[in-house]
Amino acid sequence: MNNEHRPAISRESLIFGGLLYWITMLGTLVAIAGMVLGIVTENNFSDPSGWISSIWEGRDTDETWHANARTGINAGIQYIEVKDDTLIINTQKDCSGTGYILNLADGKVKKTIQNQDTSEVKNSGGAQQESDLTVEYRGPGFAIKDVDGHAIGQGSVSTDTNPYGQQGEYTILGHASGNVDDDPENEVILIANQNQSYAGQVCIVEQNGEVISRYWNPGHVYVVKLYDINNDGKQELIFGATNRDQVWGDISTPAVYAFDPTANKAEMEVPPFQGNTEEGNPEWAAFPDTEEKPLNHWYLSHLTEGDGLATLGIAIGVFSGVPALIVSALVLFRRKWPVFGILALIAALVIITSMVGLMPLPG
Amino acid sequence: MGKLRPIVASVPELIILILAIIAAYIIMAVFSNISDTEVLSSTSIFWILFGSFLISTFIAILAAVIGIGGGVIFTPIMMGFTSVDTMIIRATGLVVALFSGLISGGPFFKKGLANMKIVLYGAVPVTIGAMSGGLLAVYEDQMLGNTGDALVCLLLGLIVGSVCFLFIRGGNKTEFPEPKSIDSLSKKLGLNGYYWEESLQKPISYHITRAIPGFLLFFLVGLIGGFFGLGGGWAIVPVLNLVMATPLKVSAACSGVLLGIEGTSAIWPYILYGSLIGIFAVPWMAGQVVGGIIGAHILIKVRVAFVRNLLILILIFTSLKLILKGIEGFTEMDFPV
Repeated sequence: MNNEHRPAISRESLIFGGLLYWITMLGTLVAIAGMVLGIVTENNFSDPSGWISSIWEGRDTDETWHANARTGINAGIQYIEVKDDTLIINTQKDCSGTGYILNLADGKVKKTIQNQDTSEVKNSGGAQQESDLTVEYRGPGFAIKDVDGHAIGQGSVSTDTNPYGQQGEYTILGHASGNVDDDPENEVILIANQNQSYAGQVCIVEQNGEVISRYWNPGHVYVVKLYDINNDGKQELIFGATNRDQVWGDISTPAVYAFDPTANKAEMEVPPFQGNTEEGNPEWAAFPDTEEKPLNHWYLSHLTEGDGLATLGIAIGVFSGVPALIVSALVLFRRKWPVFGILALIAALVIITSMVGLMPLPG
Repeated sequence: MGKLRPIVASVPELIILILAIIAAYIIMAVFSNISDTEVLSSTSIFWILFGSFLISTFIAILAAVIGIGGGVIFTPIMMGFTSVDTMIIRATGLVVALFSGLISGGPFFKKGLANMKIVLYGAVPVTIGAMSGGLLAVYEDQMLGNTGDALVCLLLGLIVGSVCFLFIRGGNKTEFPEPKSIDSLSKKLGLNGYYWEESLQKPISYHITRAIPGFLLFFLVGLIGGFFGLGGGWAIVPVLNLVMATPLKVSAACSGVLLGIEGTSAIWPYILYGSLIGIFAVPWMAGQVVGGIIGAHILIKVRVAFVRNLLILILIFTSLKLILKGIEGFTEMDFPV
């Protein structure tokens, strides 16, 4: 048998196969360029080292994005101020670090302040109540005095252990005072950090020195403020900290929490809950240096970054089916094979439906 | 090496692609900006990226020759033997499954092995099923969490076991099946064709049958392939070959193209949900493209039966591991396997 019996190849087959082939090839080259850009430069939406590591370690996609889609600030929030309906925070006490402007109501980051731009935090308003209490502290011990300077209570923030299984001493480094519950008396809020390790705590203390609530944080706490953030007549507690649970290892990310201190009267951990105590149920928790897992076609707005370009390359290859099917359909219609032309168009439509995201995704 | 020379001569772009990939890895090795982490050193990260490409190329050649798609090799093995999150594995598995299929479409059509009518007939149910499967996977991940992972492992183990059974039962006897009768829909649609069988040096003509059961099975294959990130090649070949009486080599070629089309529908929910990690997936994609081109040309030259036996062994072992992992997830038992 010789080659004259070889079947002729139809035009639509060649067009269909050719489009799949060459568009996929183009996508591959773009994706490779993106991978190189991502590995040899710092021009990435996320950290490729951390990404590969966290994938390899078994972290899920949410955790992986949280951990790596970040600007890399290894610091805590040390400055908090309220101005109108916004919360202004900074990684340095004097506002010389990286700052963020958040919605006071839900903690969503509205803007990042770079280049030590402190103008937006000057002359801030705020609704912090004046307190008639003074507080003195040394190490883990504290003393509360009234307006006349008389000692009315004393105590310690020391504990035998913490939710992270650590033992050790604490040092109180800041306080706020105001009325955070339904009784007419002001309470004292103390923040204290463990000397030997990373645990931080926020204690709500009655005037007689009794600790009535304690919130744990997986990282040191730097600043605490009281504001009525929802205009219900009671002050909410806002504190700035660093958080190790959001990433892991020795890297920490800035964190700020807001919650109603009267909602819980127990020993709890502020989110994310990974310790042994009950969750603190905050009004909101914000990690301004981390990114939520991006949904939809996130890479289209990151095409100059390595990982964005790499994902675009994959998307180009994946897209190849659509033009291949549509062009083949046109050829099939011209060849008077309308049934197969229609089938090709339906398949293309299904892929487009999937690509555009017309079917709703959870979250 | 002897087989590669004519491929390189007839596909010059393969050389360009391989050179571009080699250059990319050299640049990444020399100018790498990746740093050590607590989990992996920078050297390990580079070798993961390079190793992924090499393994992916090997999988693609193997998968294209058998016509199963790389997803059915990649996804179960990664899910059974690594701790990588199941959604990331499934998204990357679809990359593995679909790119060898997409790239092999050109050579398969050019050589007359892939049948356009069969491909388009299967494309509609398989894309609808695949999109539904991808969406289901996202909802499963959102709603079931770790329980969902255990369930996925258990079900995937059973499916992979069934695939092995299909392949064992298929044997060599199905290489040139002859249908006893042809249904009216297949006749009306003209689902037939003929191709040049290189290994026999003669043309083989064939007629497809059981169009409606095939249509329904394509939907089911798409659904399962999209949900588990397997692609569909593992089952499209049996459906075409055992159910619709398509010659094995034509089944493998059509399957390659169909699983590519199926993957393009299934993967979008994963991309839109943020489960496809570009930097992690690109080496697998590149390996599939290179291996897919080589595999598509090798398929034309070799008989496929012997390769299948090796794969059956690997998949039986993987199936057992997945079933045990699924049981571990539900019962917190620890099997020393």
